[in-house]
Amino acid sequence: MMAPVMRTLVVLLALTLGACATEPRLGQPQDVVPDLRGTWQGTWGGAPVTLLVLEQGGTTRQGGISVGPWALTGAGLPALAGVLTFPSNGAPVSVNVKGRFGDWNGGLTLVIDALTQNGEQLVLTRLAEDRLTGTGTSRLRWEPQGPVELVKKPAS
Amino acid sequence: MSQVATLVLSLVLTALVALPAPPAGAQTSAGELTVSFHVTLAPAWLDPSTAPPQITPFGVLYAIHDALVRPLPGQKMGPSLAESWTESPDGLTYEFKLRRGLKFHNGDPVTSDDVRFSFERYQGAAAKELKTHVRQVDAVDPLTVRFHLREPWPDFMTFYGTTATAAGIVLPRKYYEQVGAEGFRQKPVGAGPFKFVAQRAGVDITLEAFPGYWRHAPHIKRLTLNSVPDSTTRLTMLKSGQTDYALFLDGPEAEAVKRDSRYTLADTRHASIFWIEFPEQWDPKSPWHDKRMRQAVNFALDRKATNEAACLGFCPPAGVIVPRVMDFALQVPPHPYDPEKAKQLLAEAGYPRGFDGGEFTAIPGFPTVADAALNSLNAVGIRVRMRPMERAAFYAAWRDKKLRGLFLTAVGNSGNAATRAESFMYSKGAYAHGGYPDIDELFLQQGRERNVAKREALLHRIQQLTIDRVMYAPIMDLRGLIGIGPRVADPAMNTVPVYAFPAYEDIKLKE
Repeated sequence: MMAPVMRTLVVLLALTLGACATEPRLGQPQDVVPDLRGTWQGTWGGAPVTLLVLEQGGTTRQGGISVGPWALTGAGLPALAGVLTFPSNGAPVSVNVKGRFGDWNGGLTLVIDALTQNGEQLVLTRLAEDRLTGTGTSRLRWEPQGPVELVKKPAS
Repeated sequence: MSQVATLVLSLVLTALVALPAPPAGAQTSAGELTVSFHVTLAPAWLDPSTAPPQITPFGVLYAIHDALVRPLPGQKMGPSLAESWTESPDGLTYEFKLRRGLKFHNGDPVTSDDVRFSFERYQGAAAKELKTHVRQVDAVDPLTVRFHLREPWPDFMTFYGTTATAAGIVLPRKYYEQVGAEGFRQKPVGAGPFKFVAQRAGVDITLEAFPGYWRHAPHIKRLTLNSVPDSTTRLTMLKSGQTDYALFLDGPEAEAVKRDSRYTLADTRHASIFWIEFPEQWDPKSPWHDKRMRQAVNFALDRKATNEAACLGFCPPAGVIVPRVMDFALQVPPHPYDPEKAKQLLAEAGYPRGFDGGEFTAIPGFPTVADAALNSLNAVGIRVRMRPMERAAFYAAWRDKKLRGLFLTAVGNSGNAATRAESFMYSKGAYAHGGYPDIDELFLQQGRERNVAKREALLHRIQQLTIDRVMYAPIMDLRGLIGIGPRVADPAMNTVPVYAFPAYEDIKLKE
């Protein structure tokens, strides 16, 4: 029979691992990265969501070792920046986001992270110039969770 | 511990968790809490009657006062002193039912007559708009009040039941008439979670839990709101335990809180935008009448760098002065940062060697944003000098149209695109310095329109016109960075949607 101390450690380890978000490790993109700049509207877990892609270009480091602002190792992946608007606790909220493109499970994937304390993340696995689909998570239970579908809004 | 003992302990804990919560009002209040504001607290903010279209006064108002309908935890517009309200099918009548047994802090009952009195004496943000639309207010019986509109107005509840205005806050008529407006500001009485104890004008306000508050008695017995305009001092006070909340920290101080695991940093989720106003744009003699000058300001602003320096990256850049989280907001990108283009526009406007822009007044409380804007302007040749001012004086100067040249403001009260248009874009709005006949016409048209899609199109058109005519230089959303001290167990931050302050009555201290 497992000792109580060991049992506690196993439970703590399980809880710790369970609490960690699954972080897709992206490889260098094999496909051409589409230009996603513009306004995207759709749903995240059934809730309305808007993604405004303001900048696309440059690279961002994924993982690796950093000393202060200097990244010593880690892959440089194509990046984007923008603003995500979604409902939180009964009202919409807008947050800055950063995204990185890369290969995951054999396909081009865009991972978008919100610059907040709450860990909102969209993992978009089907990227077309007018449609993005995938899934989204947040650490807050009152924020959307689940499938994401976004359609490009035509420029007015 | 034996397995039996563990099992017994688990069962006891489970049973405790499953016990029903004590009834509202049954709990006792204990402990003291201090909340440090980034601005000087003005006695005027103890009386909602003259509240500007700003969120900051609500950080004081909602401690002492309560409204018929207001943002509540989990509700953008929740029934507060009113237990319910109905709109007639023709959109002309709104009827509110007050909760039974409500009392003001002095023991007087809260009645429909107090509701009518408070509305009639309201002179704050959008007072003109409200009084244009509301024909009459009837106190039907002590617990029923009826608002009659002249014509259907889809936004009545947005103006009356959110922080778009303070018109829904209920004051005790008898006491108010007895002490007068000045006496009320010195010693206010409300129906909110805390009752007034004392104030030192511009220094602090001391409050005590009101056990009869309808939601529940506050968990904290004594609440002090104090004025600490310097961000570094607020951080020092937080770290030395002299305060529990350091509100609206500037970037460097917020970074220090974020790095220290003993403290919590919360970012507010209210609907707020920083922008630069051009109050002289309608004066043909002013350089700001030239659209190229206003465009130059827009291209000069480095929104990304400002966000990173002042806001730790939390503040999304803005392309219009209606926050994108509001209903009917136009979703547009911000102006790009292009200082060379700004210089070119200045040269085309007749200022190839730059231009003396005079004083630059910035809303107090956000020094890094103000410095960043000033530096961006000076860098392209729009030479401006910072003019310091207290927050209440800034509001008054803005309202009285005494700010000239360029000024930086921020607005964070809730509402929707129509409430923002009313205050700032409609030429008759209390904070508008001018306007355009077509925008005015669109504004009036949307106010009558009950078809949501058509209203949205009208409000989008208004916002697009403000962009096309470069009426403002929007900078970014404002996310207040709030430092919370280690004594606080439940900070009650961001539980009330689109609101920048804690729900004071819900704050819990650690045992």
